[in-house]
Amino acid sequence: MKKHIGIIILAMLVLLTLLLYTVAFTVDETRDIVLITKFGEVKRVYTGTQDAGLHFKWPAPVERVVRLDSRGHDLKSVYKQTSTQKQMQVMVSTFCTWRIKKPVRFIKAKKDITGVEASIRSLLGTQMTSVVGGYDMESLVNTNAKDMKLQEIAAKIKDGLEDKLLQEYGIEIMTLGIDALGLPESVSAAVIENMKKEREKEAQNYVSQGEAVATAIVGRAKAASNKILAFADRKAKDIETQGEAEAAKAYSKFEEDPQFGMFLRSMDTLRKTFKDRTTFVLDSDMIPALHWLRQKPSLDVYPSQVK
Amino acid sequence: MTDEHLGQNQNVKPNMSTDPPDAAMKSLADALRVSFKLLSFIMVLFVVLFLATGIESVEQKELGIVKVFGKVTGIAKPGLTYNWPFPIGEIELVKTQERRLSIENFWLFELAAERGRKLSARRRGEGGLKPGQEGYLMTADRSLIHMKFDCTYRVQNPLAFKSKLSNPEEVLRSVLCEQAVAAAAVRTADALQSKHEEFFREIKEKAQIQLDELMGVTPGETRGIVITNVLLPQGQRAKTWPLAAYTAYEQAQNAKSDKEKKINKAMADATKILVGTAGANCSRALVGDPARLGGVKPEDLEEGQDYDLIGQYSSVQDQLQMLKSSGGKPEIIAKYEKQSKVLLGKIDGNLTSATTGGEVVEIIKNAETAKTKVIQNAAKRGNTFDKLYADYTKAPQLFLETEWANTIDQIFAEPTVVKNYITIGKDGTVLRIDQDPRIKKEIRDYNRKQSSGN
Repeated sequence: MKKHIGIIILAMLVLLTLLLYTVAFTVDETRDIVLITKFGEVKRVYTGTQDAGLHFKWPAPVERVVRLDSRGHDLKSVYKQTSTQKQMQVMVSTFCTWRIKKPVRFIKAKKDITGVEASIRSLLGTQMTSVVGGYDMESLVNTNAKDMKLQEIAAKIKDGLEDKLLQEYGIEIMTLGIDALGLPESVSAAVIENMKKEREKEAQNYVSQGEAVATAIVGRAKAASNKILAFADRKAKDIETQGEAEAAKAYSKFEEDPQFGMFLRSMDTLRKTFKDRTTFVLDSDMIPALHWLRQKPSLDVYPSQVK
Repeated sequence: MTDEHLGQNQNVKPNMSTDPPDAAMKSLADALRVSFKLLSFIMVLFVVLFLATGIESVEQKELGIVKVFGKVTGIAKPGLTYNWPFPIGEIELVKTQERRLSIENFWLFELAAERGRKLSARRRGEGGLKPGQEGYLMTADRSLIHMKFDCTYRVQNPLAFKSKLSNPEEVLRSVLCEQAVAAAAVRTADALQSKHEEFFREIKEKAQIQLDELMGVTPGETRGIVITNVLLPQGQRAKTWPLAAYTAYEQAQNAKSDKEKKINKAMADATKILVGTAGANCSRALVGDPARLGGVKPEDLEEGQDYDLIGQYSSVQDQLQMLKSSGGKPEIIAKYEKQSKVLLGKIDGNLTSATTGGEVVEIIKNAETAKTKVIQNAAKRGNTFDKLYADYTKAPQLFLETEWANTIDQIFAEPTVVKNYITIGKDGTVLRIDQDPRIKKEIRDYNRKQSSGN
């Protein structure tokens, strides 16, 4: 007997464990709400945040464990067509995150999570239609952020649901928002047509603007260039005037004999003017030396006298 | 049968082994002994396996929530961890590496066959967008735009991540969609197309605040989920107009691109004109940036930098003219005249600066050359006058004639000067002039060179 004491203890432990399974239960801190029902009536409620750990109950069928998820659940509504205040048709979809706030109420509603979500979805649709109907299109989309009221609309939908959901199903909405906003198919077709027209107009504007701006830029540059050149010419004339003023000082010597001075200047001008590439057609009499081509030399006649 | 009974059987005398019933008993006892040992081994094995369920390996980029009977007792970091065996203890692993969530709720409906095809080549259905099938964002200017984006996030606090929401990723998706709808509702379609980074930044910030509230995180606490980025998916088209309007948008986009090209070319041409006129620095100092759209703000200029001097000079001149015609105060007129003079000095300084280029350099250089030439010629003539005047006074007429003859000789001695002599008779003289072809060619070449130079 002594030899097998270990095995016996082990067997007893296994037996004890099996027994424990029928009377003990755990409450998970991260996700559980546990209700203990006695013949269908809720007797005790344990929440993970407060009562996590090992607990005991009478074995079934006296007491039974009902386990609920204490965490938030995501729920999406149907994408639904509705009217704004000015009877414009829009499509709106909402979502909400809900959790069980009153587990006993939740159990009494005799619904599971799928059933509750169907009810929430239905209520959400009704409430959304009612709230959106109180706003115009400018409250849904607006370049002025202050006039865009999507958050306000979502808050109103949430406010309208909270009491009912808590009283009827024991649940609370943690958050609610609008996760899709659109237009019915026929309206979106008109919007797209309008977008096309606007873009065609925009394309034409780009073409004409491009030409106009480019021409203006080059025009401005040319005008600016002309201004610079005008100032450069003015400066060039200043420089040349300075040169002439200095040259005038050198020409002051001519005052001694202006006639001789002008003669020298004329000769200088002749030399420069007819320096090259000039064709002369001359009367042969003009050059006295040519006389010697036609006539033998004679001491009586000096060439300058020949006419 | 007990062990004691088995022990008694083992003590049976050997002479009894021939007895068939005793042999059967022995065989049974042996079989039971082996079975018992096997059972013991299996039980011990089960115990070992049971105890081993408490061992957990926490990988890198993972954290473990350690629980005993469902109560959280700690957070296990990467490495080998031991907890109470299951079902007493449990270690719930949570990945902390960065995850990516693709949001395609606002993307267009795509047939599988069309996925790889370019948007421009896709079937463009007429009519509107089918609600629930075609996703899109509605913008403040009531345009529609298809967009998809990615959200990268990681788990920072595994307890908040696991204990607050049953499906955190789906909630994250809903929150991101809500913020995208709200952010698009206050932006124009063009702003959404061109400044999507700002749009995504707003989504990220607001979604993070909302998630923190949902997970009960107060400022300063570690977050359940940290959104690291909201961005366009890499390597794929992730925003577009509705396909029915795609061509119109493409045309507008092309027209815009053409406009920008034209403007850029015009700006390049303008710069070329100004650089060709006076060089980059000088022209900027003299006339500013006439090609620059929107003008130049004072803060863009360096301190003491000359800018648009001619413009300033012109406005000062206009003021002066106005003051003079309206009988302005002399001291104010004097002030403007002084200012005008200073500006003109600066303009001249820039025109003659060493950094000046283009046509202006030529103009100034030519003027300087002309100036030098005029002075040199005057000086030369003055010197000639001095040198010849003494000879002239000795025999004026002879000097004049000699000087004249020398001049004629010099002119006629030039190789390119053509001389045609004729004797005018009493009858009519017909003169036919034909130049030397070499000279004609030279003249032609010269003229061609001159015209190409212009």
